[in-house]
Amino acid sequence: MLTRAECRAVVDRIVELSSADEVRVSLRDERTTHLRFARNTPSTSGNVRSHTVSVTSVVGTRSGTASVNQLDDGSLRRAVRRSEEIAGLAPPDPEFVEGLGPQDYQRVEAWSNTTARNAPEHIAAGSELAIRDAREAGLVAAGFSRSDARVECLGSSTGLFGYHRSTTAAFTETVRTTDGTGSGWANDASNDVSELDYVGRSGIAIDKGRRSAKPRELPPGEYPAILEPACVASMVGLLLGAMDRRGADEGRSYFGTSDGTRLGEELFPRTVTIASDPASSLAPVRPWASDGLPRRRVGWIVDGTVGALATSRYWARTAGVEPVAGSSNVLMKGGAGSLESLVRSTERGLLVTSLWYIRSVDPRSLSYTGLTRDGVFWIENGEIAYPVNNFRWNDSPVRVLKNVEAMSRAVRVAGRGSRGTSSVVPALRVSGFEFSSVSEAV
Amino acid sequence: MRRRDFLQATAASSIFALGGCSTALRRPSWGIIGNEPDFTLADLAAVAIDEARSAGASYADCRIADYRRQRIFAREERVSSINDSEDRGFGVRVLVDGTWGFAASPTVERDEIARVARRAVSIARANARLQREPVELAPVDAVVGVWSTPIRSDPFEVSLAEKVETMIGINTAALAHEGISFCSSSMDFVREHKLLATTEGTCVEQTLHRCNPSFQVTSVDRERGSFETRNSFASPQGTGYEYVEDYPWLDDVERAAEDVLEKHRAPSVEPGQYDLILHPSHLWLTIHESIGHPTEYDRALGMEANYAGTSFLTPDKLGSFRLASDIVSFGAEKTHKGALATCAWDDDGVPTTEWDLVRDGMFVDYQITRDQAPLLGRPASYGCSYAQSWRDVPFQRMPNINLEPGKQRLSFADLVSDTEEAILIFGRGSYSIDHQRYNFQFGGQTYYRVQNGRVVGMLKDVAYQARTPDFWNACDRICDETEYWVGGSFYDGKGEPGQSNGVSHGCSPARFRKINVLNTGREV
Repeated sequence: MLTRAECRAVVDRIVELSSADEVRVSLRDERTTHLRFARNTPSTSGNVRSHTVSVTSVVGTRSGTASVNQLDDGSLRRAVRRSEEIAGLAPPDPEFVEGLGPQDYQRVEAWSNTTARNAPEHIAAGSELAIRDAREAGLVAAGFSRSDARVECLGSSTGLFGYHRSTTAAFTETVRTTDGTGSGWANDASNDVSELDYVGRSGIAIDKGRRSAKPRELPPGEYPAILEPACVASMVGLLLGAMDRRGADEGRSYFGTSDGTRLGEELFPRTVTIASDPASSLAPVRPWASDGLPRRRVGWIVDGTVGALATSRYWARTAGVEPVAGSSNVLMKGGAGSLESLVRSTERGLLVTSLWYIRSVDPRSLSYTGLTRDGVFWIENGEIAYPVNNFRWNDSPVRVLKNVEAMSRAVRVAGRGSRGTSSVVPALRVSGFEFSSVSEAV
Repeated sequence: MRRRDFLQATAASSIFALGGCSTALRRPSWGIIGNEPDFTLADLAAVAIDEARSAGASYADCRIADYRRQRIFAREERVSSINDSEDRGFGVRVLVDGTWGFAASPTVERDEIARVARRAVSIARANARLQREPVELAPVDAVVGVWSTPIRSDPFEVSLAEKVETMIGINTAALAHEGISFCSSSMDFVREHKLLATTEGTCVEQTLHRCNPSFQVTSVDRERGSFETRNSFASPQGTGYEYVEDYPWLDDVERAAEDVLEKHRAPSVEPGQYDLILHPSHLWLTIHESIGHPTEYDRALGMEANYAGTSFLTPDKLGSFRLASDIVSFGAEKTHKGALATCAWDDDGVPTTEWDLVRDGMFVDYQITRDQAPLLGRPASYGCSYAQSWRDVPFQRMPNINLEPGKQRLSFADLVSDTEEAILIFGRGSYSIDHQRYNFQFGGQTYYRVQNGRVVGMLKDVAYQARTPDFWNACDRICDETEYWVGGSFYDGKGEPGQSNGVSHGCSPARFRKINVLNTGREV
């Protein structure tokens, strides 16, 4: 992978080649290893190295960006020349903001030598165990595991420089019954591939696959529900995605009101606290936003109250406020107990493993629709009583968080596709969630 | 103008005349421009083929590809960003002991190609010990050739100034309307150039063009604390810049501005069962999600069980399952001019073709690749293999899938006139469907109430929810080929790691009886 000195040399070379008023460089070096399996056998696998150099040239208030994926001098020259051509042809930008000078980025520990050097062996061995366990249980496994080693660098002619290296590893698995009536899913994520619990998580998927078989019919309606962490990661991600100051000020966001924004409004119970912190050891991420703005700890929802809205540098200047880099990772404060103890404390309701195909229905109310997937169970007197059919749901993350009654401790989640490994969230028990129609999908 | 007259005019207007037509040629012979692929690239690909073969691969292919992309985004009267990218590299795919292996690199040099080929073999060999279903490839004749999307105007040769002028013109036209708060517009262009060589002697070079121009108009009603939007009815196409040049942007944006203002005043729909008339600008996406994805054979096999999902169209239903009413037939192809998935050969080197998926309402076939054909008992692949870039593994991706126009003469205006009570929907809106493609929910851009053969006014907060076979069996009228229109998706996602694919869907307006309609407006 590219070292700090090598990245610095690329930035310096681009600055040297530039004749623009200002030049900004974003550099990425990635190595990805992945293995996919289905029907209890490997399907595809790969090992890919890739680079991206993105050059933004600024002439007056005009700017243009050109990217190449080669690091040779000819490619760098081409990127600089093309970005300058674009900047020369682009109209002046009334929202232009001059580049940042040197910044003090937090040091973030997100690198694992094990992941960088030995991921293929760990992924193959872990996946082999997962397949073996499903096969021996008489079930059918499909799964995916990937690791990424990544170097990211930011630089500019105004003295900005950042270097960050990270590794991530993730595993997701779906285990289905051979009669097609049951399906379970589990996931795991870490920066260190050797910490992925292939056997343990596979055991959860196997258990859910078995227990979800031959589900009973349950009519649609609003039910109390426990949303497992994967569901909560989806919901909270949607909420944070809408927490933008400009959209709110312009009146085209749930966070805009007829006379301002919802900043400072107590929207949720006081138990709800959602933050971002790039340096969190729970899910460390790059310490700068795409425009170079340093990411710091931000409390988006603090004790139930809207604490911050992401604010670009341009909008901060316009609105006379401080810029706030958007959410980098999702750290939702959880409770003390496990998911199992949350189930034990639940009189009746549904336990939902994961949500799927979530799409916006009404941005005014932040309403979404989607499906439940890979395990929905009816809870009766603190125990999982029986599996039920999947549902389409129509609801809003706002209403979900308003309805929070209890939560488990927070855990790190890998989303489907093993992407999105930066959410650390609890399972939530909510007093009501709108399941709008039955889905017979398994 | 009466609402009915207005919509009749709309249907005949140039906005909807540009989605495409049914006169596409039946084989992409029109794009063949030679039989001598680039010698330098072919020579480099041969390094991978030879190295993989000597390392023990029973089959190997090498794709050397370069991609040029441009994306421009303008908001109101300013250009927010102009991004131009190039991306070059190669991928080597091998079969060892019936197991796939793949490796890729951006460094297109002989030594690196040989190293990556060996790496792909070693990955395949390591995974072969887990293999329980050795891969078998359907036969294909070796082919050598060169093909290119025929374009009139190369978007990468068109000046930025011209593109920016078009976009700012769109935004300005919208903002000239009182009550319009914002307008953004965007243009995406892709040129995909690749050479594929295989151990079986195939060597094909192709250049594919795609474009995706669009806009969104927004009106904010501060007093009500509400806002409404309407997106362009333009659709991504497998063409050059000529689509942008020919599209009636000002007609569309003027209509969009009027629509979005009318949405504020429109009554919210009463939930219940309604007949629906779906315009092709909307219906193409329903086809994509409810017919396109469940007829993917990899889903039916369970290959996508951990991500995209499986399919309710299991192989036991082939030839015996009534998926739709008998007026409904769907064909698949990768051969129609201007469609997003069109090419001469897929990424397995299989010549593209066309075939039936649903005939007279019966489910008759799947989308398949070379490694799937033997599993389905088919003698050959239909050419559905595609990888989104050099760094990605080719796998089964959706071809263009089209609803055949009605055989009886029926215009859109006649269909409306012939309808007692219905909701008419235009444009792509919210869409969601379950992981076996049974239960779906779709919204649109604009909704109108039809009563006694006339369009009587706009509605809002509409979404319909249905079960795929019930929905398509409720189809009782399809307009004729004069109303045929092609929409499409620029980014159809599937696979792990995720890949996206461009795909088109053509259809004529159609009517569906007694579909469940929801009201999506709510307070939280």
